[in-house]
Amino acid sequence: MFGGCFENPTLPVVTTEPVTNVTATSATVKSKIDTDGGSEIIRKGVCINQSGNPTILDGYTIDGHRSGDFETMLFVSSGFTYYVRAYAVNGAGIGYGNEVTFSVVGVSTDFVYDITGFTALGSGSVIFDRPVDSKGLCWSTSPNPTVNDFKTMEGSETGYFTSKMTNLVPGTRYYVKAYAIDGTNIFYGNETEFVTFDYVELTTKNILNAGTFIPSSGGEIIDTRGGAVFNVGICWSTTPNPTVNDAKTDDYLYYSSFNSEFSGLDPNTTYYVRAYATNIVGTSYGNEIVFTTPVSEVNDIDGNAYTSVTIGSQIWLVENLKTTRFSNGDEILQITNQVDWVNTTTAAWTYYENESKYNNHYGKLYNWLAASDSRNLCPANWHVPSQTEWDILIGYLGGETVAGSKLKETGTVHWKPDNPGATNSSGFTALPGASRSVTGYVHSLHSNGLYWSKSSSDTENAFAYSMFMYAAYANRISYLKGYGFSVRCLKD
Amino acid sequence: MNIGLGMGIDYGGFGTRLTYLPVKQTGLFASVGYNLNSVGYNFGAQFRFPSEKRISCHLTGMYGYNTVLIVESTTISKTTYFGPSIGAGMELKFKKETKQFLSFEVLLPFRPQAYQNAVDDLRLIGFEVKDQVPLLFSIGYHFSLNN
Repeated sequence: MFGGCFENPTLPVVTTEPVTNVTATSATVKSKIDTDGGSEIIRKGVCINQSGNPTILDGYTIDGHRSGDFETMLFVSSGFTYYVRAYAVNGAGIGYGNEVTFSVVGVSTDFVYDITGFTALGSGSVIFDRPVDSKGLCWSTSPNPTVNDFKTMEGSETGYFTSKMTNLVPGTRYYVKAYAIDGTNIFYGNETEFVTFDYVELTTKNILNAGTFIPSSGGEIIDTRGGAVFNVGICWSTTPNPTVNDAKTDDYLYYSSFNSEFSGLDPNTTYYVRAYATNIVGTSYGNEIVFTTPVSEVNDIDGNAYTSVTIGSQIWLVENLKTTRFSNGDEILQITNQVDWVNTTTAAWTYYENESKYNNHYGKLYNWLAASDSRNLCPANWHVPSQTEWDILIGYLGGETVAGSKLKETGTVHWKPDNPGATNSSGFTALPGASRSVTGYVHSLHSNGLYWSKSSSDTENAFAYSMFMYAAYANRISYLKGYGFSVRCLKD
Repeated sequence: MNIGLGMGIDYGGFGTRLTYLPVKQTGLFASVGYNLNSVGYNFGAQFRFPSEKRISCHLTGMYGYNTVLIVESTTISKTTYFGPSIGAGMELKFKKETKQFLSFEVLLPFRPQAYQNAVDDLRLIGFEVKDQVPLLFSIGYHFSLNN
């Protein structure tokens, strides 16, 4: 009957609810005081440890007094599992709630490297006292990526890991975080960002020497977009949008510019040309230029096509001679050996430095015996000009001191590294084909253009006409007949 | 039958005690008072040693409140504990024939284990809990209700 009257207080009854909002540094736990045990609650909070069954002897919080639910913010370190119990103190002592546990996985995003246009490698670290459910990298084009964006999955082992991000878009800024999933909690590392490389941006140079059979073009790099440029050149086709799978050149990039020479063009044909550049992302193209090769006005006996230009009273071929035969069909001796070249007593030709690639624009180098041979080196109705005929040309163009600038091709596609004052106003389009030496003195390709006349100055020498990259002159000089020079033909 | 006013756990703190004597040597009593926390009360019995003098002695046994645990924190918390107590006392009449007397008592409370557990817990987390004295004293002034 009086049992209730003599009842001593009991410990508070407390409930610890599941931990929420777990981050690398904090977590939240809510607690309820179900009964106060018949005595006023004088303190309440949670106690926490890493071994289980936490008590007030471990770490604890003080979250007020009196009955009522309460919420506790816990500050934690990553990489550990924690055990938490709510507690409440009344006049009967300390009452503990149920134990709840949560884990804080330590995640860091380390580096992003080996970036291309479409892929990148990233690394991260997961610090935890047991395997996680999964880990990897997640990324987005917006800050704060989550696992709901793009992600990789790299297994459950903890520690350092690398992961490859794929399907990236060139030239795009990405934000990336390492992540680890443990149960229902997702932990993220710090955010880092990177920009994928992009295709090279470039333009196609206008066609130089359009209307001849020695056209050239090239490209200007506008922006490398961060990556090294591996290859540059031009590609062309008889259909629009040429690619590197069509005819192309591989050229040398000088700072942000390169020059390219066409080869193998057919007469009277329309071509589409684009400059290209290849970097780690791939190959990109400049604007497309359309041009049409001229109708072949003159063909040598080998079938090489030439165009012509009228200068004063004379009509000259615009391209250097490429034939291997005299106009009567007789073969001209090709000599590659330098000793043989020096000692030959017959008409002969050679390539500059024996490289056939120079034939396309610079033509062949002939000794004077070939240039002056009565079988005629030039096509029918054309001939190698005499000293007098060269002098008429130079006189027409204002004399030796200025004629060179009016004869030389403009720009630095062939005349390198500089070609000041060249106007090619005559349309002659002289090129720096250099020479084949007999004395040991070497004229450099790109800097010297030397053309034979068929006129002998004495028994050992003959007249040739010389132009130099830095100069405006076109000089008549007497050279040993054994030299190999370019030949330009004059119409009969 | 007598009724007394006094202080001590056998008076419920500051309160009154009603004693009924079904036989001359035995008294049954109930007390109620304020124990500085809430209503304090005890029920018990006394064995009275026969005496014709102004002073008589008795032994007491009772059950009820015998401790109030006071904890000072943000607020002052008080908790009443119940348990048995025993004691010995004496009654002092100012005149031999009078029906009023003073009662003095020395009491030994048997505090419950729950109290000791609470003290241990509270000290564990830093509360200051003063040791309770092992013996308690009470004093009261009684009036006989018999003619």
